[in-house]
Amino acid sequence: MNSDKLNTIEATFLVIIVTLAHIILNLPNTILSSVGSSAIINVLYISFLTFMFFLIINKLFSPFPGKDILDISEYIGGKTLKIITNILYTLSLTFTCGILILDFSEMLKLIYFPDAVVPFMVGIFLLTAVIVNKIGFKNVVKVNTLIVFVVLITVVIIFIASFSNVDYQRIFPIMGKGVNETFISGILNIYAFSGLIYLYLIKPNLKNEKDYKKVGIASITLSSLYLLLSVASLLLLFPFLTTGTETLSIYMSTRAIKLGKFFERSDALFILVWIFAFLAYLSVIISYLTKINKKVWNVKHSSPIIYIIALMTLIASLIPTSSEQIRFIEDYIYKYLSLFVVFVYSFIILLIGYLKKTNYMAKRRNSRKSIINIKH
Amino acid sequence: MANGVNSIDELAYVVAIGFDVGENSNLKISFQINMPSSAKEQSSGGESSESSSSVINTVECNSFDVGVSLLNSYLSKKVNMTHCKYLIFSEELASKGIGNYIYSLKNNVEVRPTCNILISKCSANYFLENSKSVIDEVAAKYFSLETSSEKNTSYTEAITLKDFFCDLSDSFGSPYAILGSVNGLDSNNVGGTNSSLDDKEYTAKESDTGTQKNIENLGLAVFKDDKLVGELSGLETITHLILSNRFQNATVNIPSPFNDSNYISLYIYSAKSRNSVQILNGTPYIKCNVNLEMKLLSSSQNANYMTDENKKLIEEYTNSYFLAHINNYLYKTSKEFQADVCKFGKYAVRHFLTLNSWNNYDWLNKYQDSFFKATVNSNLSSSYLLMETE
Repeated sequence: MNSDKLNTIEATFLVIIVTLAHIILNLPNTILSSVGSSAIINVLYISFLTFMFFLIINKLFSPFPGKDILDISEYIGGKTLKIITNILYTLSLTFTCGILILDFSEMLKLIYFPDAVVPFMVGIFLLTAVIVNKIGFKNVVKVNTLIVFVVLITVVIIFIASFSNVDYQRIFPIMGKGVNETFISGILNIYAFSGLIYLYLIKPNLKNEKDYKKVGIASITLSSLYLLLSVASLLLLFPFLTTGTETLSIYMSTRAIKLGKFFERSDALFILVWIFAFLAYLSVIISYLTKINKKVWNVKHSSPIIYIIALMTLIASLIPTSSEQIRFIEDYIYKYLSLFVVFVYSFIILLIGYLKKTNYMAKRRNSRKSIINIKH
Repeated sequence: MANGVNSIDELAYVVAIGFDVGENSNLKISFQINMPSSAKEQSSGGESSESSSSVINTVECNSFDVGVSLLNSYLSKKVNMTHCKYLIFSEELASKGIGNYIYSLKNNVEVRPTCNILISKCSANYFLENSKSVIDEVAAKYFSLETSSEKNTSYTEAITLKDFFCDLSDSFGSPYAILGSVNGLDSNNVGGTNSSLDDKEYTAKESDTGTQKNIENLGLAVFKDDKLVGELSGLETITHLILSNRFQNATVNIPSPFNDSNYISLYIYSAKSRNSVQILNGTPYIKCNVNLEMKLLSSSQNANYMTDENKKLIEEYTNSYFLAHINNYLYKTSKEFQADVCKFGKYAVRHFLTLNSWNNYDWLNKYQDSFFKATVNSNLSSSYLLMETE
């Protein structure tokens, strides 16, 4: 259906929303506490690696025009592997989405609604995302494009507004917690680009398939840039973050912003924008999971799947019972789960699919050649 | 009232919080609460506007959060600290250490990181009681104007909760705060106790003399870790701002090169310091190269300060005057206070590759072993007088 097709900007912003949602919560803080003052170098390093990784993915996808990771799974392992891939994607995305929305709700409770019941807040977020999804995929995408644009502006404002307070010397010691932490174990911070998961799914939805490379490059470049701005503004502003102090880091930097004498408490404005960002994030996740589940299970109507995914997300958000558990899940479980799904499992599927396809094509070419030779 | 929602009438807005050593508990907290105009009219019988715009409530407790709860139980309104402008700690409490209170305040969502931190030479409660402005009736507005005066004088620096907390957790330098006191004022001598000709003596002083009492923010309170270790006078604060490259402008009196008993006034409008740190045999060697741009404010009947010869003489006097004060400041902070309030650590850290080697070097303790080399170059650009310029 042509109405579900995405242009380059829409597709790029779909990938970026995942990174942005994590930047708003705790991603820069996690990077800072893992590598220290070398965070800027680490972000540049993982951005470069992600860029290279995408070029390989793009190459591996080339023999599969109009196919996503589920189609390739089916190609190499039949219906069973397709279902396994679908279940892995659905569980990992609903789980991380549930935890992230819980973390954001906890943040809202701490700042503005001390008496609010968190599951109720999560429920309101999910209800809104369900309603948005019922309206249609294209609307989710258009709203997401608008919101991501506004959120990107807020990240730039935070960086510019904190410019006058920064100490550039905080980039020293240049190697932070060590060369090993920056370049060897620091490689794991590549999970920051877990939004790449959409690049495995988005290909059939593009208006022009040739734009796939453009979408990938643009989304990685923008994600890198905004991750760099967020990490840099926090590193140069707050000395205590490199020691591993747990804080609502980006929110703290908005509280330090003073836009003249009139706009002293601008943090409320940022929170409002972020609420929309999380709604967009939630809507995008639900819409994509609905799309792939509809395809795998051959379901005619989207509504039941939307309800089930919303319910699964709500259940996931009820798993942690304390903020320590949320932090542990975000810093470790989400990290390794994203690395496994995006950078290991999906890559292996794609690699096997590519090898199978190229071998098959090579065999066909050889057999044609031999037939031609026999005829001659 | 809906659950969790307070209307504006149900809130008591705190504009300043004072922390003292308690008599029966660890802490005595004084909350200065702004009175809404209607309440004020009722209390003054709707008469003149001379009635106090705020009330002060004091509680004894063991921690800040408990203090807030106690005050909530005492007042009929909920205490709200979103408009708090000042956090005042008494000198006595600051000497014992205020780290725990700073962490509690930083964790409180209502207390803004832009709140100013002040160390009072008198008790914080007494400071608040006398914090009525001569010219401003609204307490919150008065407090915000009080900190903005540093832009005109450079006799102190507006230190916020965020600044203090960052310094407290920083490995580049030590924290410091605004120094304040209650000073006696006479309408014919607003200088109070700071009447010396030489402004190196200017500092926040306590005085009970004078017909009218007023708070005075002058100088800086220096901390080592979270404990108060000393104070900087007005001129030392100017020196501190110059070396930290945060100087805006100041008027300074220096001994006149033409007459031993006289002083001449200089308006310094720009000052930059190029600082560098070398580690020689494990000891910090700190170099400061200061450039001053200034104008002359003083004039006298028979003096022509703008001849090349006199101009050069004034510049030389200024150089040696500031050099002496910079050396005094550097050795005072390193040997006496052992606190790097100028944050030379950020220049030293470049010599270290990893955080581990930097932390092992332990800059904050090594600073006391530092030795210094300072140079001053001043440039008298104009007489700033109507009659004659360069």
